[in-house]
Amino acid sequence: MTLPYDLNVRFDEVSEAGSLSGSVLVIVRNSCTCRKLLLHPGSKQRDNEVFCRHGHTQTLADWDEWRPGETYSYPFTFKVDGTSANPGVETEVHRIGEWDADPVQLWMAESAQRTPEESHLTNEDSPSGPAAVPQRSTTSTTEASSLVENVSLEFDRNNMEFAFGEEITGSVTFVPAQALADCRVGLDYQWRTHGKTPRRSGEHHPVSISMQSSWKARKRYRLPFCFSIPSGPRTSHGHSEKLDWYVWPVLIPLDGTTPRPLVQAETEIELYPAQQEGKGLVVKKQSVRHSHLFSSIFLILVSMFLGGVFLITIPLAFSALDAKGFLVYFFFMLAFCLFPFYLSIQNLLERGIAELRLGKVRADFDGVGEVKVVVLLRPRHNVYLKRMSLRIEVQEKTTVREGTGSTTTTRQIFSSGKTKNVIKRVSAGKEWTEEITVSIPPSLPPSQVRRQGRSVKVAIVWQAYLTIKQMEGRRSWHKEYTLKVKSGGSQV
Amino acid sequence: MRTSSYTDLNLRFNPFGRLTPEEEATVALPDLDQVVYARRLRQPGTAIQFLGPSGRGKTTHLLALRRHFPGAPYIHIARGEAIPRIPAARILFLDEMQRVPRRQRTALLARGVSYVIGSHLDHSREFARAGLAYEVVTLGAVTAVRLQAILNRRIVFARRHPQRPVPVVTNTAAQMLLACCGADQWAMNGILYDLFEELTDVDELEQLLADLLAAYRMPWQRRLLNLETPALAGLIEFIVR
Repeated sequence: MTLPYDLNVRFDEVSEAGSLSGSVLVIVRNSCTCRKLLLHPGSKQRDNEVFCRHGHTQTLADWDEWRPGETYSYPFTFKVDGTSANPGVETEVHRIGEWDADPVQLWMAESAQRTPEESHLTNEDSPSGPAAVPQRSTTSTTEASSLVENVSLEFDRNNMEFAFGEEITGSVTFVPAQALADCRVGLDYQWRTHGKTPRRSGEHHPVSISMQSSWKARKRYRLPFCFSIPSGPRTSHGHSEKLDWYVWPVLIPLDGTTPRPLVQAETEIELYPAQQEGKGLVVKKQSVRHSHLFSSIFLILVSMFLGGVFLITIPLAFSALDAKGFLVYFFFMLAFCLFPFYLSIQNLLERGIAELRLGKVRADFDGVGEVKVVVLLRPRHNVYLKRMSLRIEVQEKTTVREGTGSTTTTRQIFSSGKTKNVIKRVSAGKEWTEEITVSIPPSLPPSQVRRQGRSVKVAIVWQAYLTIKQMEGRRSWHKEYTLKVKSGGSQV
Repeated sequence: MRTSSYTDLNLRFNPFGRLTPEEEATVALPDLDQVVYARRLRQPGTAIQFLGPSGRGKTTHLLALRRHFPGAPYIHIARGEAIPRIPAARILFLDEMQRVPRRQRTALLARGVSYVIGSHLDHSREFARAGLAYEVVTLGAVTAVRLQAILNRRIVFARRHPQRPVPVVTNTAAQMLLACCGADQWAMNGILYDLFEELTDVDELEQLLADLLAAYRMPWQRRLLNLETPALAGLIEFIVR
């Protein structure tokens, strides 16, 4: 029986976690539709030559159109039984128009890269297995991938962070699988978004990196490159949307047709504005002043009133014990309900006192590639400061409107803080200043509100939490700020 | 929360994020004999309706069938959006048909072309009234083995290097997801998207999933302490202390 395809299996090394991965390579001679390509993992025991299937059968291909001259690679991974001497797989292909499955073929990891052993059925036309077939994901379909045996992209810098407009240098190493003519090797780069939002992408920028147009089969070529990426958009990693830049080698045909990508060497790079522009993120200057005189007096009065109500309720409840009936239950229930409330009164009271003592507080926020806050305070009374802390949180708030109602989901993308010990006595009426800085990764998204259609709104909110702890009292002075953070460069 | 790329997982992107319709069709794993349906659809005046609640694979089936008709218009009627203009074509792929007003639906079906429809509501009476030969495919439950294959196909799609391992959804993980979400694959995708945002090791998927689902099942008091209400959590902590 002549099959319209050749099949081969490649195995990788068994990982530390005990999983064996590899890929099934299909080289198609004549066009056919694969109904199913099944993979049965198993092993041969030491003293037994019989192949035993274990684990779950994997469906690698399902209704795939196999075109002539194409090579398809279907990767797989399975857990290896610890007791197995020699793991392997059986491949089973069902084709449209064929009543039965094609011969089941057995592939052992120990003897990888050779012709299949005979299994349940004899395959007279067993493939001889290609010496080296380019790897290709079943999904990243590209014809060019089958033309090269090996391709890689190396950058001169280890750090993959680049500034807008900066020159990127490195080299492309590639080994053609067959002799290639009338095509140049080049590079292409593009930005793309991915995540929960609809995908967007930028323009392609193919650049030729060699004047040579003919390439010998199986010869190793190393081609240096140097190009500069345009200014923006910057790399950004939110929860529901991420923007990345990709660079990959291409074969550029001389006849002017579309360049053919070599996606297996696709590499991500991070792109930010230059350091002097804030390397991505700039905190807008903002100054916030607080004077807590009225609010703290209000808090103290409220807590005294609530505390008083609770304290009156307890003796009333006990005195009502004599008077049987409704009153007993009423007062005990009231005391019971007020108890947790009473416990929070202490917080209110302490917070009020802490705010009253600190008096006027001013917080100035700014920063380039970091959040810097300068705190200036002039206390009303002598205070003993213990420590100051700043915490930065970035949240992504997604609001989905459905009919008349809406649902908001909040996701924290980033959280980082810094605490500074400031053991200091500050006299009443004297000014005291302290500075605290928290660095922020450049890949975070700036403050923004964007809409996806009419019903979905996504907001990136930057919050800063400033806390000043005093020696006296348990309660700290605490404030929450919303920062405005913008991108140093252009945005999408 | 992940602020870098998915290189450590040997992935190019989060596999459970949104894909383009073409990519969705590539990763689709439909359980129908598409050739038979495609042949039937070539006869004008045929309607095939995929019926089922959210997350049962209606869009997936629609897109997979559309691979047999390259160039045929695919129209997704988004929630809260204006109904887009539906072009004249021999075969129309209409997703979320229940969002089209009844009068407009009647006018649309009167065109007498072939339709592939994804909907939450059964429109068989309307098809019959329009004189169409129709078939309703109700999409329901999915087995753990099949779910495992569907999910792993998405992961393989996002794979970076074919030689290196990627996280794999095991049968146990698929069973856990089924127990948590029923057959709603949208909900599963949402859980797995969040999981892949936290995942750092290819072998930790099952454990992390178990932790995540345990968190979903937590009693409300503990969830209150753990999630989203720092002020209330602080108060409860204070009371307990």
